[in-house]
Amino acid sequence: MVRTKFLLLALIMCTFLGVTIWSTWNYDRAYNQVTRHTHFSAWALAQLELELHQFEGAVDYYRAGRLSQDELNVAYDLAWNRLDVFLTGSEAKHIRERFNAESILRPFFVRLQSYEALLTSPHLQPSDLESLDQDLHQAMPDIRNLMVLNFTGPTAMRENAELARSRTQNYVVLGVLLLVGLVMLVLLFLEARGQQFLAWNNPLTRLPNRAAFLLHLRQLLRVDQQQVVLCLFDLNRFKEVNDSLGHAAGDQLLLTVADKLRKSAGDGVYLAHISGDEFAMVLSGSVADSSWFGLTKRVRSRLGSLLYKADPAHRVSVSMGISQFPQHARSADELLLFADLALTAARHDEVHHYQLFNRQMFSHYQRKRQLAGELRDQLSRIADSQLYLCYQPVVKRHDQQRLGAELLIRWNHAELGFINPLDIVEVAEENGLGERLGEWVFQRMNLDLDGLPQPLVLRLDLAINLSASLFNKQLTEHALSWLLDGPILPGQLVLELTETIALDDFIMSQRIFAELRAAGIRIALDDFGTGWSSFAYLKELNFDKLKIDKSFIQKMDEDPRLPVFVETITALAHKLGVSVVAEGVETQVELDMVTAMQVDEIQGYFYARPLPIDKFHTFAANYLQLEGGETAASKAS
Amino acid sequence: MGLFRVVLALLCLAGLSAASAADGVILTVTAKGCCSGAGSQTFTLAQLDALPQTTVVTTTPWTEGKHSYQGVRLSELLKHLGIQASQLKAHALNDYWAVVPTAEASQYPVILATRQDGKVLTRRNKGPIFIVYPLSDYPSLDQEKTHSEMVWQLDALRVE
Repeated sequence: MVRTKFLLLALIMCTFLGVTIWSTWNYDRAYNQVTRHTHFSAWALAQLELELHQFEGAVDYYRAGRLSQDELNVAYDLAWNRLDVFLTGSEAKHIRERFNAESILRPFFVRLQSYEALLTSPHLQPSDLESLDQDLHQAMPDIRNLMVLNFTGPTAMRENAELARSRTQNYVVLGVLLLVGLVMLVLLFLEARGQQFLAWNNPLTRLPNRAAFLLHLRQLLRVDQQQVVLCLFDLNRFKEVNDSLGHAAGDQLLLTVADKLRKSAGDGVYLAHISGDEFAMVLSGSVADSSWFGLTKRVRSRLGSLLYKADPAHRVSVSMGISQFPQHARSADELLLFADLALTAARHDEVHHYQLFNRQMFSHYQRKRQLAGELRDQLSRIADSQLYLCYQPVVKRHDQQRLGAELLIRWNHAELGFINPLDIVEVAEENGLGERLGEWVFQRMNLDLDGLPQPLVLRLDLAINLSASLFNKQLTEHALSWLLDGPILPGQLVLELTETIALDDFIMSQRIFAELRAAGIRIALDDFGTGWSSFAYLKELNFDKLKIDKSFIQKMDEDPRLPVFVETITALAHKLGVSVVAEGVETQVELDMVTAMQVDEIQGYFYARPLPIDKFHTFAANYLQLEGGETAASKAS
Repeated sequence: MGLFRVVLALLCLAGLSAASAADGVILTVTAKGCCSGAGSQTFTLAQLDALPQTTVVTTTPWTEGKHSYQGVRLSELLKHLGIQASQLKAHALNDYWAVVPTAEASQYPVILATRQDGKVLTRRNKGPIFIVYPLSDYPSLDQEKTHSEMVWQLDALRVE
């Protein structure tokens, strides 16, 4: 496209240049024709004829006795001078060369000069001039012929015709230039209009883009206090269509959606395509007052069935978030934020994928923003942070000399109280603090364990949950360096991965696993059974441990199906050489059942809740039959 | 015979000039209030020769090759006569005339040539006086307007 435009422009420029050069040359030719060849030549010729006539007249008058010899000589000299100039100068060169003018005039000049002696003689008689008179009378018609030929002869006509043609050609040239100029103007206009369109519209769906949408929204709210409903929606799992069916299919889907939107939305609805798979509907006027609910529901259901048909795998669905002005928001920015929050909530609403904004969404959002700001600060402290670690014991059935513990993060917020650990991880991940959080856990663990007697620490295995951003190529390197300052060895460390961490790239994951194993660090698959691809994980990656999710353990005695899962998973894991941890064991019955099923390790309230470091110290000392720090140390030595 | 009547009238003028030429007068300068109140002054070749002479070597559209022209500078003549005017009308024996601006005459060596290559100019060779501009030394002057001001067979200068 750009190449074609460039070529067209180059062509136009070449045409311009060519036409201009040709036109200049043509004009120059015509100019020379008119000035040099016609104007000056004509003057020289006319003067020649006039002065020869005057001399002819003077001769006649002298012969009639009405003119003196001096006067005759003046006329003679003037004619002489004129002939001399005509036959010599460059001004008359052109006319001299035409129509044999020189060959006619040169002999005549010689003939005229031959009368010099006679005309200047003191004895001149009027009767002496008869032959001069005859010569002049004879020569004048030839000179007259030159005049006639020059001004009306075929050559003159041809020159005139050429001048006329040249004029026509110049008109044509000007016309062509004008046309080319017009074409360029039109191209420029179209280009500018195209650029203008692209600046404000999505190039694919040709709907207004985010910038145009924001402008429209602001202008709409500025008008007066009219009702406006903003409905944002996006296509869930649209990326998977792009990935599996190709971007062309994804584009086609977006086009179909845009088309459907145009048809479904009526008057008073402004549509925009604000990002990849996100659209906006702005409802104003009467639509916003009464029928917005029906309209948005209708659009949602139409898009829903369209997407169901369009995607053979039925993955894609619509989520819709709605906010209202002035009920919810006071400005365009707020309206957009609130609709966005409603959309986020809609994405998590598995049933309806439809949410109207409410105040909880905003307080949740504000809380998260507040937490994000404070988390960064809390992570910069270690000992005096509001964050701290709890250690939940994991009992090994076959090795009572060692005790396991899972590290769990806690945040006792000064105003908000205890923050849900999942929220902490989420806020950290959303704000790019995931890796820092991981480092903090290691640092705090080192600090906590430094306060414990070394013999006790040596008999602990510590499990740390990995957040998504920690699971990267530098994981082993980071973990080893974070352990360097602490009291435990890599062999005591277990890293727990949940199935929710999307391990898209199994090859890379296998490499990371191999590195961790080489460093002596063990890996556990956490919350086994809650994800979608538990067995795929187990198949592709070599875990050291598998932790059966508490949803399989709790109430095992009431649901006869649950023990089947636990028993089978345990058997399967053992055959794969993976040891099994039962999570969430709370009662003696549950303990008896998992014990009977040969589960290797047990974690749960039956033994202990997650404990602060001091309580964990006591628990561990008791469990490992070690007394306080010093006693333990002396016993060990 | 309209033409003949015109010719007759021309010849009468020519007759006047011829009569003056007989007395050796080759140039008449006319200007209101000039020349000690006389309004006009005549010059013979000798009188013109007595004024400071300037030589200009140039080609012209009416001659072949370069020639050396000698004569009094137009500006010099005007200074000599105490004439101050922006332009003059230059008349020739053949009734040609041209308006000559005096500014150019002061800026460039514009001369009333009476000699070409040392020889006195005759009527047969653009004499007795030929207004010569230094076309070869100042190519910017070599244009049609200047050419039209290079009056040959000059016999009168008038300030109107």
